[in-house]
Amino acid sequence: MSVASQPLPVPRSSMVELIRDYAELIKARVTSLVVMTAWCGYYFGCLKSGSSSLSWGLFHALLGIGMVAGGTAALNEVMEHDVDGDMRRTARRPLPTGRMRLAHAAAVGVLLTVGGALYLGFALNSLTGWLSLLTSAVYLLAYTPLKRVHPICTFVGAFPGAMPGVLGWTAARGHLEWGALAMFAIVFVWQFPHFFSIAWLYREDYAAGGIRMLPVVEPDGRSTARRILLYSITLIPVSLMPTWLGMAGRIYLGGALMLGIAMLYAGVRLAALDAPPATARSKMRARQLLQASVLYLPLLFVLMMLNPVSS
Amino acid sequence: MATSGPPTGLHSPKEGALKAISTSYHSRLHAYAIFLAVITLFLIVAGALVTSNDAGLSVPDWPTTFGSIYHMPRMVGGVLFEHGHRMVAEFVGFNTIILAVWTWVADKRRWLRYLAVGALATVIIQGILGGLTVLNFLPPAVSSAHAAMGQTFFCIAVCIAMFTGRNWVEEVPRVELDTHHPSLFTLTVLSIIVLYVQLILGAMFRHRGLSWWPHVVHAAVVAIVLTWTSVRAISQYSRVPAVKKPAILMLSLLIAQLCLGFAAFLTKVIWAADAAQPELPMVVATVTHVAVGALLLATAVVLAIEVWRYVPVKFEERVPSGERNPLTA
Repeated sequence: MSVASQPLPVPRSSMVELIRDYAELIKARVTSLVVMTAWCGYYFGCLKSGSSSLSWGLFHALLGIGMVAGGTAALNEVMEHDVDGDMRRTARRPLPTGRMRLAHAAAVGVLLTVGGALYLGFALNSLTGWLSLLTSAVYLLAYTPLKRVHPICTFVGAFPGAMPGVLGWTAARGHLEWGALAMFAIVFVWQFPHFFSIAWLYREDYAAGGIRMLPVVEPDGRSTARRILLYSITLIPVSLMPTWLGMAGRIYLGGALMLGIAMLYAGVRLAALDAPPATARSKMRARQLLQASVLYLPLLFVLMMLNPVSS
Repeated sequence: MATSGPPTGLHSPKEGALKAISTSYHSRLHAYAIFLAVITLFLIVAGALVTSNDAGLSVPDWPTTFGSIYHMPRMVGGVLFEHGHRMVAEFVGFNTIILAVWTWVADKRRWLRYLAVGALATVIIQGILGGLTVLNFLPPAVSSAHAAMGQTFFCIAVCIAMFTGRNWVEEVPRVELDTHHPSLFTLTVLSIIVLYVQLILGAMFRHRGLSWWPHVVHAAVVAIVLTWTSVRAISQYSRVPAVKKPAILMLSLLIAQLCLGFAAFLTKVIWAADAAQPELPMVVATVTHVAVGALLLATAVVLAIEVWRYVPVKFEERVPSGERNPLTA
């Protein structure tokens, strides 16, 4: 029996590794968060329309938005493959390690991004398709290069970061409304304490990669602390907007207030600590803030979805 | 080479200030001053209960109660709140006299003696205002002045408690000069001003001298100014506990106060606009709102004093440029 006629032995571990590489390329965890946020937006859009959210429309929306998010993440890794290699947190990604070719990753990224936007446009509505493409463009062409230039990158990056809920909403409704703006505002403000705590935690890593986020460029962390406090405080009234707009009820109101105070508490603990970002104590507090922020958003959206007010 | 010593910008000790005359720490005087501050807060709650229960004219005469100074009336209905308020007020007044005399005798600091006497004068004026508002059938201006004066007295009581404390008497402050614009001290003074305006607007609303909206709109101004002040203090002076602690407390009280204000608005303006008589949720929400408001004002005053003590503005920035040179001054 010739060798050629035999089936190629595919070791199980390499298949798993391939899937893992693709999952890392499209940042599967971040993309799944994007999809969940979009689901929440879609749910409230349907609630406003008085229709069920469990439909083919939901499938189209989540698939399309997930494709654009995953593709954008892949293109981001393509653009930053050299920087990723310099940082411990990202050095084991498929591009810096050479497990995946750059052209291949770029092709996957373009296909997913453009394909996802087209899919959204044809399967749902053109507004969602265009908005998803615009989100991707701002992320890749503004936020990604700015990371190495100026701390303002966090502010610029917060715009595309806050879009998933809006995309979910427009996928269901076909146009922009106040409810979508409320979801945008919540995620927009939430990102600052979230990303500042990450940058505080991985400050040395970011510095090695030449990423100029605020905790990296300022040695004493006071300006970052001020911003963490300001945005955490702002998040409290902003998170109450869904109740004022008649999207969510009183249980959500109380829960959002409690969650906001808990997040602010974590922020105050970090900001009030008399220790620079490089110390272990301040990094422990930054990690606690990060954990609080990671819990905050899903809990807030679950509360919102469990206590809706139908129009 | 590693260096030791105070962080950059720290200077010690601070000369002059309110510690020009040294005095010894009197633990009992301090404890008594704290006691006076606590019962004053209790008095503010008692006063708020009178207003929230519409009990201001339940006892129509003053300084007597139903024609008698000594006779205890039947404590029923609004009389419970109004006469109860008068009893607590008399207790606070009596204790203020003792504190003023004690401070005058035991403390060497002249300014603190005057402050204690000032507290006594304030509580007397406060009592007269309370009587005038009853005798004139609760005119909004007098009732509001009574409310504002009550909280002013509370702030003075809290300050006396702070000035007689061990930290104030024995500690030599390590000063850190403030080079920011506007200075933190300016922000704390601004916080006190906006809180005082808010207190007057709230009192005018409660005593039917003004609509609710000036108080609600001004709450946004208060929220912005106090957030600005506390965030600056926490983030910039986290190494100064005397500044950091009241700043964190002020921020916490601000959030609580905004929530209570929302609850008070719901229960008083939205839900109970046509209520025949005061309802319990409204009474609880408004009384707590008044009490936390008093605590917030007192915390802002404490913060301002601590900032003035620990984080002063640089001398060059306090004095107009033309007056820095002694020859030209």
